[in-house]
Parts: sequence; C-alpha cells; structure tokens
Amino acid sequence: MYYYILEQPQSKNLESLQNKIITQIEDKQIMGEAVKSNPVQKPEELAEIGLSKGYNTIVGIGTDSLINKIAPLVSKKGAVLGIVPTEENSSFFEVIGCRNWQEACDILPKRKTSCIDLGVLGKSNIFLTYIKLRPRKGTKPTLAKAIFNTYEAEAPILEILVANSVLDLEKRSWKRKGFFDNQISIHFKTDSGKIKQGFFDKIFHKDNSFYSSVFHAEQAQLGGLEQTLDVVASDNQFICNTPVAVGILPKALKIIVSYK
Amino acid sequence: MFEQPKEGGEVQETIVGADVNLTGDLKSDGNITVRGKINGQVITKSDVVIDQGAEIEGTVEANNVTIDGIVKGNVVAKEDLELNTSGKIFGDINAKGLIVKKGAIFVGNSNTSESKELEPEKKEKNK
Repeated sequence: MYYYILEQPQSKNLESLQNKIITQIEDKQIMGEAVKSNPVQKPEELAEIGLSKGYNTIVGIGTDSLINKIAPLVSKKGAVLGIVPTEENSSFFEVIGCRNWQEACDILPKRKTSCIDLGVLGKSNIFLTYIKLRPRKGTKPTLAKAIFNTYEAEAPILEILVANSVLDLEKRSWKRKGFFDNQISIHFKTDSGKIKQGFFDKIFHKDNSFYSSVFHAEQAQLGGLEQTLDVVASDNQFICNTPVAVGILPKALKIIVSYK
Repeated sequence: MFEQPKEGGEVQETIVGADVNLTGDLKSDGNITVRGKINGQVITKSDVVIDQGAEIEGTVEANNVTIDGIVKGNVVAKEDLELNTSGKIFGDINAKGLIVKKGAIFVGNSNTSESKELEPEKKEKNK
C-alpha cells in the first residue's frame, strides 16, 4: 500500500484539487494512508513516519517544494517515490513523463520505476531539483569562483544555480533528454540587463544569456571571492553558507514513471 | 505519454559567459561556446564556437571549430575550421576543411586536407 503526503491547503482551490486527486486514487483502489502536513508536522517528518510504518512507496501530492522535501528521505530508505504535482507548471511532469495530475495518478498502480540521480551538497545534504547560491549582501553582482577537476572559473554573479541535470536556463524547467547524465549543471547568472547592457551590447544583440555560463561536472567546489554566499533550496529555504562542495549521487532515487 | 529518456541521450553544452575568466583545461564531450577568457586547453569531441570578444590562450581541439574571437595557440579541427571576419588565430592550424573569411587574421602554419571555396553563393550568381 502507498503512503500519501499532501500539503496543508492554502486555498479552497487547492483543497478541492486535493479532494479530486484522492477520489481518483481511491477509484483505482491503491489507497493506503493519506496525511496532510501542518505547522506541527512537516512533510519530511510525515515521510519519516510513513517509512517507519513500513510503507515502501511514498507518494507526494503537491508542489515541487513538497516533493523536494520528501525525496531525500525516500532515497535514504531505498523506498519508491510517487509524484502527483499540483502545480500546472511543475517541473516534475517532465521527470515522470506525464502532462497533468490525472496522468500522474494513472501511472501509480503500475508502479513502473526508474532510478534518477540526486544532487548532494556537502556530505549529506541531498537535493532533487536544484539549489541556489546568492550574495548575502546587496543586489549587485559579486565575484564567485567554481573549482572543477581540471579547471577553475571566476565571474561576477547574481546567482549560481546548481541543478541536478539539464535545466532550461530561462524557464527553469527540466529537459528530459540527458536527465540520466551523472552530472550536475552549474549556471552562473548575471543580470546584465540592469548592469551591463550598454549601447554596444544592444547593437550586437547581447542579452542576459550572453553573460550567463553553464558548466557540467561530477563535482565542484563553489564560493564567493568578495563575500560569503547563501545556499538556499528551490523554495528559498536557507541551507548553509559557502564555501560548499556539490556533487551527484548517481541513480539514488526510484520514482514512479510513465515511460513506455 | 512521453518516450523514456535515453541514458546519455543528449550531450550537454558548456557555455563560458562573457564575464568569465577560466583557468585550466576545459574538456567535454559536448559542444562548447566560449564568450569569455580561457587560459588553458579547450578540448571536445563535438564542436567549439569562439564568439567575438572571447579570448583563448591555449590549444583548441574539436570536431568543428568556428572562430569569431581570438585564439593564441594551435587549433585542431577533425572536420571544418571556420575563421570569420573578426576571428584571429596566432598559432598553427590542422583541419580537414578550412574556411577563412575576409578580414580574418591568421599567423601561423596551416595543414589542411581540403580547401573550401569562399562565398560559393556569389560564384553561382556570376555564372
């Protein structure tokens, strides 16, 4: 049986959607136990409870933030993660191979799984999609450095994005091809539109992406040269400060997918 | 429903942005676009594009190489090497095919197995 974790609904619309999802799951006769997070019990605590009860399939029904919170625990216990995104533009639709929450529910009973990589920050901080590094002070770009196996790169940045796989630089959506690549992507982002785009930049059609960089590596060390950078999760929750090491845990999480 | 993603199905592109100073050897299987400055080798099994304003001090090795920036070092292209109007090479080149546009600067020795005609469209019109 499956253990379902839902978010505390912040609106009536979300509550209504949650009810529809639960009804669809009940119709498929794959209902186990459904729990909702609340100010006292966080999603990760509920996942811990479900896993300690012996459930080997944990299904996250909610935002990308919810999925990101429960994925590391599911991975550590070697269980399977089911994903039913509730946001229309969720990055996880691409990952599981579905177009909407109805399809995400449809694939649950077959429990067809695929192993995906996880990103790791430091020794034990696991992330599923991406983390961000931002200057602590001010809104101007600050000099940052990334050290890879064979080279080092320095640049002024407003944000560094460390993504588990290929992220679309502008849309921040997953590109499924290359998803299993055993590499993290590191994006240096500079808002040149505000600080650099001058007359000549416009003539030569240099947009923000002209100043952005993308590196791929199995591991890297990241830090600020002028100031400490804050490392935050995809939902902007503070994790730690730089310097940090980032890497990849190959095929560390089993997820339910639609793939033929 | 989607097709299953193939393992390693898409080789990822590395982009060195205009503000970046890179030191060391950049090696990749995927395409590399350079807009910043690199002090070291740039080696890939795929293609390299060196944009205007980019500067590389070191060897460049790739399948196809397109140069609008500056390379101070040897360039090896398994297939074509295209040196555009704003491109400059100070070093030896080794390529199967070589295209040099008017205004480009090349100082060094070249070793090519094929030479391609410049601007074939204009030649067609003259016929």
